[in-house]
Amino acid sequence: MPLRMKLVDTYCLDIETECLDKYGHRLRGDETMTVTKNKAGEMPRWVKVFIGIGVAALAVVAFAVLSGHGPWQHMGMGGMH
Amino acid sequence: MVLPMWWRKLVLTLHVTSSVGFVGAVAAFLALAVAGLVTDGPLASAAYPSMQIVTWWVIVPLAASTLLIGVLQSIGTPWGLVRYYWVIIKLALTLLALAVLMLQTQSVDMLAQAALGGTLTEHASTRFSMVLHGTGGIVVLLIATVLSVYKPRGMTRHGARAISAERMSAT
Repeated sequence: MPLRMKLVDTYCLDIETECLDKYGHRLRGDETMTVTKNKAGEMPRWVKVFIGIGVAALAVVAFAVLSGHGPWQHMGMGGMH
Repeated sequence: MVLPMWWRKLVLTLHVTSSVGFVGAVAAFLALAVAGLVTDGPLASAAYPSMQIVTWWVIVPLAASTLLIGVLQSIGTPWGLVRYYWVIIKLALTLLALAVLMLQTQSVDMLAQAALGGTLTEHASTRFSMVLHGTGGIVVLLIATVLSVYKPRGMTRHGARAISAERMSAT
């Protein structure tokens, strides 16, 4: 498959500003594909994994707080045991 | 609003310096927390006042500057603040680290007072908590560093709309 055919769906070809990295360098080849492979607004799997881990961590913290192991346990008289 | 290249390089330098310094300072905090937990006597008594100084004089300023410079850098470049998922997650991780840090400062102050007053043995759970939170802080900051380097794919709807609008105005 010609390179142009492979890249035609990416945002880099579609939208010029997407081709710049945070340092102002133009992205090429694999770099471009890495940054722009998904369609806009479609949440990538790695983001869903991060959100899942975050929700699980929040649940653990909430459980700890509700079961009396909150941060205040380490302060003042709470730390005296 | 995209900053000129000279400013972008300056802001990038400041951001890398503050964020890497943040990781290093938390590593120093963790080393002191471990020393304070596993030892007794003069070393433990010295560790917690040292942690208090490192926390207030190094970690808190670096954490705040990492956040502020990071936000300035993102809005001053084409990456934006809410255009890409990796930027949003990195911002969330930095905010989380800063919030937990500010909560922990009270415990650090308390342990420093206890060390000076010779009552450290009454605060075993707090001493363990310092190690736990220091480890968690290192992990969170390393994840943020990895996100900065790899910049995993994923653009938000807002990002796509903003870039489309910029493209329309440019043509």
